[in-house]
Amino acid sequence: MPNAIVLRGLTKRIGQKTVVDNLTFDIPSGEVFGLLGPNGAGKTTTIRMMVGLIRMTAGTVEIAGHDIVRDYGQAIRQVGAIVENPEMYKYLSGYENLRQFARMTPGIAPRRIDEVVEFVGLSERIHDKVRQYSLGMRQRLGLAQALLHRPSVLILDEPTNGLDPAGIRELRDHLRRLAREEGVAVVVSSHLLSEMELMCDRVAVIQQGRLVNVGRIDQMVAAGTDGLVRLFVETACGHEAKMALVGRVDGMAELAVVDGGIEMKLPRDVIPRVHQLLVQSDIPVFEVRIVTQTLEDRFLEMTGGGDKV
Amino acid sequence: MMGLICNEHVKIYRRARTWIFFAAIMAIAILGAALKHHTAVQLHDKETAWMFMDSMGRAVYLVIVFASIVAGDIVGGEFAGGTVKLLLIRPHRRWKILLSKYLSVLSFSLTLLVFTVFIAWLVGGLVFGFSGAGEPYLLSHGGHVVSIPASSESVRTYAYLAIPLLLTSTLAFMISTLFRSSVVAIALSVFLVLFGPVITEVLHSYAWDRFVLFANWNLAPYFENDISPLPNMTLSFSIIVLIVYYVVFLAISWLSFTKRDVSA
Repeated sequence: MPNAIVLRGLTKRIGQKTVVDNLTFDIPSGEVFGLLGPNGAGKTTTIRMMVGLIRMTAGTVEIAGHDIVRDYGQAIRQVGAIVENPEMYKYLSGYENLRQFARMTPGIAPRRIDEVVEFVGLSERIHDKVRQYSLGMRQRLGLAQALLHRPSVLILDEPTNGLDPAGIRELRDHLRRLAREEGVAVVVSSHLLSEMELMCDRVAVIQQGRLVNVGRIDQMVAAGTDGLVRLFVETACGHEAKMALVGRVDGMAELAVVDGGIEMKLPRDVIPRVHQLLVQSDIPVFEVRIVTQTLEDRFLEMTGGGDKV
Repeated sequence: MMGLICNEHVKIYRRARTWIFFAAIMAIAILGAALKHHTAVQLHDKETAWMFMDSMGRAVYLVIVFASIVAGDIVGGEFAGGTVKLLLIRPHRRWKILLSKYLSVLSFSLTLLVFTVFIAWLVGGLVFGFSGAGEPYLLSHGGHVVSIPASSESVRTYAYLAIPLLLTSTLAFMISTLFRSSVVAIALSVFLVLFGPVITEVLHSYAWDRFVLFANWNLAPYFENDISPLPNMTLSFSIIVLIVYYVVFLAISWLSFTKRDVSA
């Protein structure tokens, strides 16, 4: 698949502050791609540069081969987007809002409006004033607006904001379908890991405007384990347990007394040896369990831990 | 481009506010006619539709305020509501979007002005009769007293007021684009309309007072009384000053809208 979006050295400086710092990555057609990072990491600024709302200090953005600055008309024609919140004209109905956007791009038949309204599931309320819409309904209308002109690139900023769990699931299915069946490159941003894990094929992790990592989520998680697993032993006698094990298990990387037991980092195949030593030393053990490293851990690891995810 | 202008018109006329403007002007015409009729009966004066139209010229200040509200909101409102983002990520140059907005402001201002003229004529005609278009109206010109038909005097009254209307709505449009806030734009332009004459008074002692916008935008004195509003001013001077203001207003709007980052 050709690359639908190409970012090269994308940088935005405002005054002395570098908000987005040298971002480089590609997004192929047919992929759901996530921009992941804590609040204020530069996700929205990156998206604003991708759709030409703000100028980059350095670097380029190409959409379907068209430079977003030099070839704005051609590039933006390929893009459907929601930037930040799906803000619509509140004094117009949902349908009239869509007609506004339809008039701005040549070649959108009235039938197409009905089509997208049906697709996002707003048929029943489409003639109500947007003033009366819930945030979830405005998200749906926002998606409808973004899809009107059959874009090959769909950019959604925090699209799950205000959606209920059923709505989130539905959105996920929609995005997957658009990517798989129509080859649309979908970019979503979020600060919620769990969401990205379910929704995206690949993510770019951004921290303070810098690209920390980019790749498949499952690979990012696997890479974090470096062959070792984290083992937790629940026992009232943490110190005795530690003494029983220290220096007697091959490949043990970490060993510490924690709240309610001990925790260690070690190769998976030496776990039986741990059992054996604890039993031999008469330590009362309630539970032995592998603590799987979640994406969340991995993310905190990558972003240095300090920030709220 | 037609699509963009159509959109702006939908946005103007779909709001209840706009219809209140039209209703207010109608109400003032009816109220004014009722009062005029009352005093005319008492004083045994003869009032005509054309004379009434002439006196309704003051209602144009209301048109200026309403046009400034629309002009002040047309860009600022998009920023305040965040809709500007969805507006800009379309295959149109920013200047085209801005131009469609400005043309819609002009179209609305003109519509409201024509509506006011028409309503004044209609209400005046229904109350006082439609005759009297040719009755003489006296004014001094070149040291002589000349007589022109009442109808052409009425038309002149509105034509003179079209200049402050054009400049105030353009000013409101500029402030709206520059500050990206409809509140600032509306408040500031209404303030300037209301206090323009006072400001001119206050600045009277300065040598540059004749360059002030408000001192120049009423061209009527040059034609009617042969006196300039301030010393050292001529008709061509005022026209040049007005053109400079107008071009500067538009240039600032244009630069501000096309060059700046949008982070609304």
